[in-house]
Amino acid sequence: MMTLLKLAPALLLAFVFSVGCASYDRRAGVENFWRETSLVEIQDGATTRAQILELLGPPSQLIALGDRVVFYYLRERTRGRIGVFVLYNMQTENISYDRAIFFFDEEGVLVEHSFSREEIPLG
Amino acid sequence: MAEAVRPGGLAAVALALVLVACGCANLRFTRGPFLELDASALPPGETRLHDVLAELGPPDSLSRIGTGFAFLYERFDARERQLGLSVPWVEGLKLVLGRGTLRRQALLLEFDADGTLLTRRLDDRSDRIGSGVALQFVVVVAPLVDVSAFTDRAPQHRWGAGLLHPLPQGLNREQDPDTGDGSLEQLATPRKAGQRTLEARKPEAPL
Repeated sequence: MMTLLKLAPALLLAFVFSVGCASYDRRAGVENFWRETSLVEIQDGATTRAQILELLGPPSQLIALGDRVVFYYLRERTRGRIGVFVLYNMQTENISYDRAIFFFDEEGVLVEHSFSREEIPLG
Repeated sequence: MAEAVRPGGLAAVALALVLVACGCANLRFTRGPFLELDASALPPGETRLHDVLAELGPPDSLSRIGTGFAFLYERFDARERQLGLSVPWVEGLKLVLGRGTLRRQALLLEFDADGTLLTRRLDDRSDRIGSGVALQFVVVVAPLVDVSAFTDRAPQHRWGAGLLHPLPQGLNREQDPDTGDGSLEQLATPRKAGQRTLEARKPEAPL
């Protein structure tokens, strides 16, 4: 009982100054399976469009660039934090993207590919 | 000659500010780490598609342009600082003054049909993006400066839904900057100008 009484001022202060806090983590887009796929399986000059589709599924966007075909994969993550105090409040939100891009020639063979430096954990 | 401000006067003003300050806020919206690119990096005429992908990774958007193609990389850091002042005789409300600033990067790279870099232009600047005044509940944290044009989901998520657009937008699909089929558009470009006007969208609602 005495301990509770000693803690009361601190609890009262905490109640007065911390009205609410929240955090959120939103994800959108395709699953970024390219982060778990062994790089040996994806080789410029050898891998085909069908193999990429088999490994990663349908892309977020399919773009025709003249003779080239581009598969563009995108995973988006939005993380935010909100702190509501009486005197000071804050909100931060960060959007990060995990991307993979594959360029194929007119025969459907991979000529270039790249993954973003930013990574989003799978799942 | 102007009379020097006394330290006591400054202290009184500071004390008054502390007494009326209520619900100040700091809001921040960011996208990705900023690009660090030397002026001499990726020289046009010598750089190939492979070099760009190795250096920068996939672009935020890309499009066929003429017989070649173009990449656009974009980053931003939007901040809004709010000063909240208590309203005399009104419990639970605060007067909020907000001001927003934005640092943004846009890097445009144009390639020929063979994948050789033709042009490169990096724009890195900081701007004020607006300000506002509002009467809010003390426990509310809401931005006064609209940054939704920056924080909206990437156009790649909407690509498949393009065929379901209303007729004016559907007819303009060939010129739509989101499809990668002939044009690019920077984030937060107003839709009331340029080729988007063909889509006859309703004017955006004021805040």
